Amino acid sequence: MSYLGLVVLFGLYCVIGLAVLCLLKLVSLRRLSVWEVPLAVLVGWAALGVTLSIVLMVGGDVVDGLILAFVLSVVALVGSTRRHSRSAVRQARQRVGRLEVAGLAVLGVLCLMFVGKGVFWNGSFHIDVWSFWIPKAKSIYFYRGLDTGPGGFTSWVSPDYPPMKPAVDATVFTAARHADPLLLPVHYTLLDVFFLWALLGLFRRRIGNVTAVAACLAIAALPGVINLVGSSLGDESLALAIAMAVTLLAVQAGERDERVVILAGLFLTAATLLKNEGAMLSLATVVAVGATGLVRGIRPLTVLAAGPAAAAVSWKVWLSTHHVPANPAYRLTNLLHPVWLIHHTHVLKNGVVALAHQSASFRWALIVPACFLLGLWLWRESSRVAAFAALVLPLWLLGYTAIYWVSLNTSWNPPAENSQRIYAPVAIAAAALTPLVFASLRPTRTPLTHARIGREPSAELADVDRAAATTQRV
Amino acid sequence: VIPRRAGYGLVYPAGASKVEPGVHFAVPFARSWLLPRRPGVKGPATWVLDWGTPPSALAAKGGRVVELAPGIWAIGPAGR
Repeated sequence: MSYLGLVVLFGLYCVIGLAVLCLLKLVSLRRLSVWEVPLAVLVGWAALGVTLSIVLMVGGDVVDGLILAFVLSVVALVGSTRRHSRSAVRQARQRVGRLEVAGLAVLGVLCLMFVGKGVFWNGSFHIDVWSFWIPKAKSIYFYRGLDTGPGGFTSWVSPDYPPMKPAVDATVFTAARHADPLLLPVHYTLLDVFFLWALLGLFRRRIGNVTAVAACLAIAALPGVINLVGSSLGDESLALAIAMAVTLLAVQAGERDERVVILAGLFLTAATLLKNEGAMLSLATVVAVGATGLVRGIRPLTVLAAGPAAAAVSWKVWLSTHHVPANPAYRLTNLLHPVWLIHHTHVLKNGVVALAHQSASFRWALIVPACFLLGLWLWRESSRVAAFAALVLPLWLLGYTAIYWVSLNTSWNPPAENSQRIYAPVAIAAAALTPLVFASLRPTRTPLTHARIGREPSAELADVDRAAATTQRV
Repeated sequence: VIPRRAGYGLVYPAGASKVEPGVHFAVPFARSWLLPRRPGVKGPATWVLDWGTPPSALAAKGGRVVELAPGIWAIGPAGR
């Protein structure tokens, strides 16, 4: 019964995600590819999480949010059938070679091991999961909303954390009709598998089938990823949201597709509502996108920034109206007090050392410095994706360093376990960006067509797409 | 033992975490596990989850005392 609930929940993610993708005319229900389904699941997870957070903030319940999201999705799906157009996320039919099949088989085995890890989880959650992620989810499930009384949402550690992760966990409990914490690792390992599958779909179009499989295998085999999968920590969800956002931004760079920017904005909004650090990561991403011209014009940049900004403001308003005390661990306003900062340089040093240790750690296979240096190196080739990678990674680390610096525990030295967790979104996003930075060096399809047509990449790609469609019909 | 709609307070001796490091993990685990029972509620009608203190020192007259595990008791509100 419990696992059946999870199946229903993932079906709901898929329906909601397809509704969003169809509404944006990014996919067609009639010509749905197997590589587009996982993207729909991830989009559905983010869209449902954002919807649930809003519904909870206005005083509703998880069930209200589920009904609202389902009804809106069905209306959107019914209203948007048949209409779709070319997009950076749409998949063309491609032949699957032997090497790719072999790579997919290995990746499949790895994914099965991930799911097995979730199914046979023995309950040894991280203390943060027992201390506040599970109790917050249970409080939403049992008390039907964001309760501020004893045992309610705000009575646990980190009361100021946004509600998306506990809201999604409460949805898992609602779907299973049982608040069983052991369902969470199964839910998150499945989500991680869909994430790898979605990445594979996005990579295939940019870097070729075999390289895409190799890149996904490399990501899945990172020791840090294997350790994080199924942990049910907020950092696991945050890593998925941030990595999906930057992957979509990098994928659309060749085609300047504003609809894909909207999807990236949805994932940044989800990141903002997952953890406090998510707002910092989203802000740094928007700044890097603006500075490197990864999206063209003010409008798409505004679209990208609007969701996270609205989410952050509405959560701050909710905290203020419900008189929730500030996080006792750090105070961001201390960044405005130079004297205080000077007196706490030892905390800054501890933070820098902790992050540097993670950057050099075998756990993440040096992926962040490698991606940064690659981006820096290829920046000269006028690759916007490379420039974005070279800028966004140090910005994120700078943001984490600032958070460490304003820690109110003056003798605090971040333990390796803490820095490893908070480093995960940066490392996984860097791992997703690296193959796309490589790919940005070469045109999306054949270099010959670039030279022959001599137009903007978007026009060239449109022509190639048309030619491919004609070939398929023939 | 503790009814689902009841509130309870968790009591463990000061300095317990020095003697028993597991308290650091056990307290959040217990608080999470016992939901929807509301933790941190004080009053005559609430239960006490007692870890390490002799229950006679905490139990009100007529209150029900149940040993959950060695050294851990659930103490009910005073009987009527």
